[in-house]
Amino acid sequence: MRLKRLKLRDFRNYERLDLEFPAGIIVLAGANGAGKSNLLEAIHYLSYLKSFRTNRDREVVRYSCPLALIEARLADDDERPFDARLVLKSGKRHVRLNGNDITRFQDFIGRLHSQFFFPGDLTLLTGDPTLRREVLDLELLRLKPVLLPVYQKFRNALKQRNSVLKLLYPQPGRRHNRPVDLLKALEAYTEQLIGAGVAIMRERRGITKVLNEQFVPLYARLAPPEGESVSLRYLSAVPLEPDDQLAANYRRLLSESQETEASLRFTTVGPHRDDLGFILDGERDLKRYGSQGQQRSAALTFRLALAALSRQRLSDDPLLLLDDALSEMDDERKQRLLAICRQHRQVFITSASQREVDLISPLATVVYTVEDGLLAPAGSGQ
Amino acid sequence: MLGLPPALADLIHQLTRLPGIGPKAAERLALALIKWEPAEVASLGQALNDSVARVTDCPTCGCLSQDGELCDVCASEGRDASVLCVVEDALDAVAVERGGTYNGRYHILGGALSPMKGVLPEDLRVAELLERIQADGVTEVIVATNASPDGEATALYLKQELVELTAPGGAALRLTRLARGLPSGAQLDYADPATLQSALEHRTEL
Repeated sequence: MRLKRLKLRDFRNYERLDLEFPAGIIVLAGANGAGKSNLLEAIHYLSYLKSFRTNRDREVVRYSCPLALIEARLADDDERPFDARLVLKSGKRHVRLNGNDITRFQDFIGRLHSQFFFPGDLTLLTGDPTLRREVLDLELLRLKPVLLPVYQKFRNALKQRNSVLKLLYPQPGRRHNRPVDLLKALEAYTEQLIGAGVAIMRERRGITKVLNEQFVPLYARLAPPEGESVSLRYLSAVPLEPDDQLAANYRRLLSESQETEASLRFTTVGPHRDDLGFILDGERDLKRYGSQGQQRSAALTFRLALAALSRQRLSDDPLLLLDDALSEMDDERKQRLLAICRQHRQVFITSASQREVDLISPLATVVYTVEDGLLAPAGSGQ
Repeated sequence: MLGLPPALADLIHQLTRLPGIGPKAAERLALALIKWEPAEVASLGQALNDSVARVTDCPTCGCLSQDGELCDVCASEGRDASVLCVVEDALDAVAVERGGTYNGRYHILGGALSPMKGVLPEDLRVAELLERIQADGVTEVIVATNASPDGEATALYLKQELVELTAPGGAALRLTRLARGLPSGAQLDYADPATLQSALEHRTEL
């Protein structure tokens, strides 16, 4: 995947930008506040229809302007071009793909496949498990779109089962009414939940395993030289091994959690409560025991592992957006990261340090100096 | 501004209450109706009144019937009373009947389970089903609820209710579910992955 041409109008501090981008490493150099991250944010919008910094579209429209425009000519890995266009107003979006209006946003999201890293990405590691499940599921559905009905089945069974639990166990003080047929309905939804839930847990465990194969060596190359290893592990309350006991284990846990379910009135065990763990030295949780440097490396490595997996499994090489990714690395690791970047088709790297820019320049296809929403070529390395 | 005569506006309003009829369609229908011969309109009105007054649920299976009598299937001597096809709605039974090969009887549940939307087991005609199975000496129940999430859940729920019942003579009651797979005349490369998956799972010996 690559971005060939980008047009911005009134996006953040870009009043007007019309630029063509080559393949390879593209460096955006400039002081803080010049607009380097804003450019990556625009590309992120084209990819995910949202910002990585704000939830409000209004914020990205240039001050006192009615709307912002992001337009791009993209090319997939077979050089087939396609056009994406996005207009942002407060509370309104207008999305076009190849000149056709898109009303279902899910038809647009992911067409431009990108992986990004920015300093705030640490929340992926330290934040709520929901975030990690989302990333895992997104990648899983990209690799295996046939799983979508399984996810829908699971979500439906979960909602219905929770509705039954609320009927079975009314709020304290209200009359308890536990007809036999409701218990049987609960059992029916339990079966549906187990059927779809087991499939999801298996798939997530599988993708975690193949991601881990990418992750472990990448982490060893990029992390601070403290010698620790970090690996990925799918964490579930349901014992995942042996595999042929998975359904039986899930069923047992559900029946053991009857009392908890009676007081909480929702389903407390299953893939909707699972997590992706970043495990330090095979035992400790990186989220709790890792240094900030280790967490930062893990977040960056995780994105690179996702990109590597996509390239390996789908021959789909995502665009890499690396916002200030090098600043906390020593020179050797910077070089290693750049070597990894060189294996990808197109990589945008921002940097606020001249020394860093000098280091990247020999490997870059082009270096732009960003200032006040304007990009000027600073010469190319090769 | 020229408005519609109140009588016509009222007719349009009444028609929009029908399922699938929006304001535009209602206008077209109403304008067509007022051009009908008075005798035709009277006969439409008669049909409407008759249907409302006379169409009832079959007291046994819940299918559509008339004047409180048994439906054609339940009244027929030639139908196999030991096989029951359980469907969500009366129209589903009509659809199976159109297939022309089924010779058992029907049982209408009156919907599909969905606690989220407030449809609970007690809202389905399950007690009647249990009663019939015992009374009629049923040996097989074919669960033909929709292949939707709610239809599937209803099937699983029925399994819970029926699994311990026995057929006459003490053998276990046979519980079956309609097969899922390719529709007749379908092209393989147009089938969606879920359908293909299910067609593979339920493949039969050649």
